[in-house]
Amino acid sequence: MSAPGGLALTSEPAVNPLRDESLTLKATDPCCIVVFGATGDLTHRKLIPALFRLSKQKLLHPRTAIVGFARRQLDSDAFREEMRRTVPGSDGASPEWERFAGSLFYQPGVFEDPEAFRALGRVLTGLDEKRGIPGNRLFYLATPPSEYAALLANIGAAGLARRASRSDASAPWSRVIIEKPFGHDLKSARKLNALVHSVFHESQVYRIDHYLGKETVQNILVFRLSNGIFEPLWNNRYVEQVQISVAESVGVETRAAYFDSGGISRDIFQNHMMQLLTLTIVARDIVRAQYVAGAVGGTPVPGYREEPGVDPRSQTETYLAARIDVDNWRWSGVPFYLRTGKRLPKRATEIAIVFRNPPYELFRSAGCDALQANVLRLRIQPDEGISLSFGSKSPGQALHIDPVQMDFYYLTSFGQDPPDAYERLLLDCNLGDSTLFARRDEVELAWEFVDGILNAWRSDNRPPLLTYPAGTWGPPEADELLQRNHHHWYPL
Amino acid sequence: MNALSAPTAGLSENYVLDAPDGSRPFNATAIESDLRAMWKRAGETDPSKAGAIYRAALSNLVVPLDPGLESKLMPVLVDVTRRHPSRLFTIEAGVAPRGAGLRARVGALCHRRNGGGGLVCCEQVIVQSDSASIPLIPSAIRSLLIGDLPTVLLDFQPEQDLSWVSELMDMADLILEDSCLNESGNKRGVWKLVEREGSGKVHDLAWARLAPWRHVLAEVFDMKEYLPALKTLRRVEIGFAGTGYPPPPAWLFTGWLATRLAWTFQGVDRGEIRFRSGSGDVTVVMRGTGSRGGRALERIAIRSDKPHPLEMEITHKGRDVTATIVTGTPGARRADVPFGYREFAACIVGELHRHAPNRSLEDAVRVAERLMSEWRGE
Repeated sequence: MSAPGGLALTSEPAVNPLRDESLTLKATDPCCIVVFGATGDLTHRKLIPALFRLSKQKLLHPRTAIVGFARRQLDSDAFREEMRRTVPGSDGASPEWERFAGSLFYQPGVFEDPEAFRALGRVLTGLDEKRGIPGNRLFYLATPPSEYAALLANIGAAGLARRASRSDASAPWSRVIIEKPFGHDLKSARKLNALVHSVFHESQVYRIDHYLGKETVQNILVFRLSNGIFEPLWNNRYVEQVQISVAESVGVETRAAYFDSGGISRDIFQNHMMQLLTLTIVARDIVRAQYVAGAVGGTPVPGYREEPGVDPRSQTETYLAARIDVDNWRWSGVPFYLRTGKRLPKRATEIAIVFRNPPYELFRSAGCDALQANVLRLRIQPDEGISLSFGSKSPGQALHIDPVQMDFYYLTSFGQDPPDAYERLLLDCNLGDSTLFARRDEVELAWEFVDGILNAWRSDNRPPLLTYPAGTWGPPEADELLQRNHHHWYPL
Repeated sequence: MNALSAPTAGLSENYVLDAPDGSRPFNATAIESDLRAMWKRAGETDPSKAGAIYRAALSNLVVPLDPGLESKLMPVLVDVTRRHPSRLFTIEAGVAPRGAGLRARVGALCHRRNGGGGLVCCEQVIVQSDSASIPLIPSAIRSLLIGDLPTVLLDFQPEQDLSWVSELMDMADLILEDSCLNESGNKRGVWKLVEREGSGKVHDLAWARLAPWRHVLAEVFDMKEYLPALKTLRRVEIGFAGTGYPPPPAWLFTGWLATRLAWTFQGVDRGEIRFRSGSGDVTVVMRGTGSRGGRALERIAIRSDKPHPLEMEITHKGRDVTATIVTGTPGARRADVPFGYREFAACIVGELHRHAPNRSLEDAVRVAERLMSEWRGE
């Protein structure tokens, strides 16, 4: 009567035979997750809520320990109480939270102090013994980039970054998650990568851009590569143009100092937009602009230079539109239009793939206007989903062709919103799956591209800084950028 | 149609769209026409009052409704469509007066989206028949299925072997059964169906209800100090609400343990089931706790012998979100642990989203079937 899935217990079981495949979606390893910058905004808003949700779904190994590390003097109980406030009210009083809170610990320390890291090492060893963790470590650098150098040096000096063993998959592992931005130009990105590699092997490094963890971004690959009707169309023979838009309705909020030093080219263009671009495929005209006072959603807002913390003479761009040409066989001749900006009319991120019209417009001779192109829109946020527009004959005696849409919404199709990106990425790192993380060469290539633009701006070729009223879709010059090719921005 | 006018009783965030003419003799063309008319009128509703209306369907959900279960099941089905939008067919066979034939009416179940922004609506087709027209039901349903969506049969008929239900099973891509509805033990149709059709097509909701128990027990033995006690396990007591013959989850749980721990069945003796493990004899006892309210499992007690002694009892009541674990040996301990209790609708949707064959269920069913036969001396 024994089943193939059962284990004959003639010797002490090394694994729990009751934990069958129907009880575990993915086999995560027990590990110590160390969050550097544990009292910061990212930990509160994203990391702890994501880890808690993973724990609730039984996707974290029950013996996992999460150790917060930061300057502030707290004990583990005070840290747990502070973290309890990061989850919605009723969740914080749930038995699931109590169980999760039991896996939270706190170790105060200064990032520049080597002794603090040796003390951290002793805490982690103690947790290994107490909770039966085989020495696995996941370090999360949830700090400003300026702290990375000290952190990485001291992690290495304290012997915490055990190099991955290529020959023994069951040996304890150490991994590090590094938050964007990965440098502020090519030179600094290379310097950061060299620093990281002085402590960790590239296979241990997980550079996180949460855009890649979004269900809708992952679905771009699935949509393209697993649907026989679309994959053959994904090239310059059928695609006329591609538009990638990342619009934000907010201003710089509390990040004025950081934003003003880098502008939108570093804040969004180099990372999020490059990630979306490389997913749709694997550069020339640019419009840069800054918003002036206007109204967003019926609320008057100040101009960028009047925002708190912004230099009143700032030349930093808050809007960028560009035409990019991709120099390869598949995409030669297809313009890629990118735009991103602050204080636009609404928050929306989408990729619009505009298909070529048929070579012969049969119905023009019957009095129809020019056909509207088929547009495939991949909506990243909000209303995550995909829509495809096509022409259809309007009902009636006359021959009129109107565009109609086929829509797919995640919410209505699956009855739920996609999970948070951090959940997926934290889980993948634990599982050792780096598919959705940025590699060293990818980061450096993206900077090489953006550096080219930034360097040109430092010379006499710098495009003028235009203005646009807050609450509009950018300066008219951004429209003219497309009109040269008889194209236009598709409304978001 | 009373567009968006009637919140469903007890579910303030759900809304019902009704077609204009109520029940009418079944006519597939007329029903599709009614559905179109309903959406057309819904589209004319002032969006500022209701928000945008999204018509959604991931599957055809076919549900024969026993009149005795209808009032309990409709709120569950409303919740299922909220979690898994579907074109819902509810079938009330034999309830119409003689001579009424086959009748149908349409409506829609609508749910407000989280955070506002309109309603997500699922079409509902309500089919009623008199006794003579029951055999026509499958063909009526077939004519209204959305062709490119999977068909799910949610079979709550306590009576098995109805030919019209069998016909619905043949057209279904997925069949959700509940062996708890046949708990007397005299009818084991559900598990036979699992064995015949495979666990990829037939899911038993009784198994879904066992998941929290299996999780809690597995987590106990995730602790390395307890893990060796699995080897020397000698006695398992399974307590269930009520009294008398053990309900299906108790048999499934025993079957699961036996297959996971590679026990060999030895026999049944005075209500005790005896197995042999790699290290000795194991006895499983299933007993009613006498408490009222359903037939759910309430208690699992286990005892392991030296050299890895363990005495432990896990208890859970009703809809509690925690279970209590009390350990006597090797050291006295008491802990409240999360218990993943799920409402019925959540169990159903969980099964709708699971597509892979369930080998653990297949193994457990095979053992449970044999144990029941031996128990009755078949």
